Amino acid sequence: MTPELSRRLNALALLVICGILIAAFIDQLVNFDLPCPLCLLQRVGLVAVGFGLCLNLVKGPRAHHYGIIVLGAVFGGSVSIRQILLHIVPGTGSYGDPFLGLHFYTWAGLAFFCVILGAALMLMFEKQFEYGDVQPAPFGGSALAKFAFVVILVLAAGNAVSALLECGPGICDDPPTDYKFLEQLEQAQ
Amino acid sequence: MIALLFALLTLAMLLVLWNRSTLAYIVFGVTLVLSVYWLQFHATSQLTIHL
Repeated sequence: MTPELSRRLNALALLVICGILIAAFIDQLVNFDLPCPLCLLQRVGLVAVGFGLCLNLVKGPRAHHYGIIVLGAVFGGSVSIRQILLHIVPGTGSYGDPFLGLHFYTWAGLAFFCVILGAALMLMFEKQFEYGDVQPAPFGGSALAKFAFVVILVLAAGNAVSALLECGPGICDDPPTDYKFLEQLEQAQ
Repeated sequence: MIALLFALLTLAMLLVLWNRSTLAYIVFGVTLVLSVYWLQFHATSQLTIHL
């Protein structure tokens, strides 16, 4: 696998991560389904995976970049498993509406599993790490890589603003009922 | 606090773009530690489920 092909695959993977974050945002804004603290931490895991993918896009593929991707996925997967286990006992209810028969935290768990699997598979192709003496250009001149980077950057910043409005600088309500910080700001005016 | 985690990851991505990789790794490491702390906080908080 050439470094260029690897970068293209990383850009596609990053766009998939962006798609998951956009779907979560749509559910939040259109269905008014406020994310719980554990849901937000799963989004943190997705953005952390995105950070590792960004490293591959900007700096070129490296083994330790995949290590960062796996770290992000292990964290996010741990949060997902925690939330799945919270509701696994019959009668303990669930959080949010199911999508295609599964709740978002279950989908997130599957997504993190796929990320770890994908990173493991990518690490088997060692030729992607062979650049010779030439230092790879940022993004390798790929428009797809630049686009994916900008989208994840906007989504990460958007999640920071959204989480601030929902939780404020302190602890998030569990379960959240409204945009706590936004209401506090409105009351202060 | 969770907003801070997103903000730190955004900063880490910008640092990669600005060719400050070492600083980006440090920011990512700090974010990961804070995230684990926050997970531990929520994983051990009192549950609101009733059996």
